[in-house]
Parts: sequence; C-alpha cells; structure tokens
Amino acid sequence: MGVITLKIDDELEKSLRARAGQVHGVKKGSISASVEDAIRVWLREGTMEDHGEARLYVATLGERRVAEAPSLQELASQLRLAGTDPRDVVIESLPGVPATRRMGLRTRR
Amino acid sequence: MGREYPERGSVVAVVDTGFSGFLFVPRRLFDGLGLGELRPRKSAAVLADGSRIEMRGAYGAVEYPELAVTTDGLVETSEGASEILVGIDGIRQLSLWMDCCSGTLEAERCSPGSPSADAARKPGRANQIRAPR
Repeated sequence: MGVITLKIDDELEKSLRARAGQVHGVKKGSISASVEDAIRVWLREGTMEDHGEARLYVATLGERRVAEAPSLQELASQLRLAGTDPRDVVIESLPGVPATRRMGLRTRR
Repeated sequence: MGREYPERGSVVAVVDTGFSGFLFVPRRLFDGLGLGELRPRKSAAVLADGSRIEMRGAYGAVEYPELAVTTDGLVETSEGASEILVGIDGIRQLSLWMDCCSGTLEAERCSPGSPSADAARKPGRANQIRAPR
C-alpha cells in the first residue's frame, strides 16, 4: 500500500471527513477509502462516454467491494461472472447521489 | 434484474426540469421491474410547496433507442406517484430544444463536436432567460 501525505484546504477537509463518515462509517480507514473512491472516478474522467462527470457504480457485499464498473450493465456482468446475486449487494454510485431531491410542481402529496 | 418496461414499444414520460433526480416512477412499476428487491435506499424529496416526502430508490437504466443513448441512475418512487417523470439527471446526456411555436420537443445526444454543444458555447446565444427590470 502506498502512503501519500497531502495538504488540502480546511473546508475541503471538513467536507471530506463528514462525507467519509456518511459513506464508509466513522471508523479507521474511512478517509482512505473515500479518497480512493474519488481518485478512481477522477482517473476515469475523459475515458467514459457519459457527457459531463464520470461515474462509477460500486457493488458492496458487507464490508467488501465485490464489483465496480462505469455502467450498470458492466456491473451486472461482473456480478453474474462472480456468481453474485444483485439482490445480495448494495449498489452505490460515485459520485454519490444527494440525500435530498428537489421535486417540481407535478409532484404533490 | 433483467426486466424491462415496457417489454415492447416505448412509453411516454414527462420531462420535469423541476425534478433534480434521475427517474421517478409509480410504485407498481418500481416493484414490477424488480427494483424493490435490490435493497432500495431511502431518501427524501422536497416538494414545490416546501413539504417533504419519503422516497425509495434503486439503480436502473433508461434507454432512448432513437438517440442510441442509455443512461444509468437512481430510479425512485413514492406512495402516490402516478406518472413517469424524467428529471435533470435523466437527461444529462441529451440536448433538448423546446419549440413552443410548433409545440415540439427535439432531443439530440451530447457529443463534443455536436452542433448543440458548439452552439451553446458561442457568445450571444440566448441560453438564459432574464427577468425584465
């Protein structure tokens, strides 16, 4: 495992710690895992067909990441090859989806 | 999950630019596609009147076959959802033109060299709506 020492903006550090806690839990290694996720997405930018931001779809079984791919179709293929039922994994996208959505006028109670 | 809706043909959906998400579907469609079996995640949505509702979501894909575009995202549902809404995230790979004079909506796939992309970058293009002073 490589070790990289970084200096980052205070506000960015605060946001990173908060988000790392939400995504990976408040535990040892959550910051490293979050930075690894961000680097993977950044490395894929410019190589993906999606217009705009690059995305990565990740399947996790318990604590273990079992598949990752730039599209759901590829993710499904990886899970099939691994013999993993998609109903058993948690699928997330990187970057993550905001926790709150804004709805338009067509949606009412 | 290997399921599609509709199994044949296409479906009419509403492009709702007020919806910041990907796709919002009725509960029966969400469950019919098997999305309810994929460990749906809970989220909240703020309605136009400021109230909040709970939503459930799972990842799925939307296909625009005539544009050769397939877009992935979080498909969401809520109690009482009655129509299919495509949100801003659901059209992120498209350029849309709304011609209210003719009552038509045109769509084109985004690409770096597409006329829509080039036109949007030219100065002077009316791509903003300004309120009168």
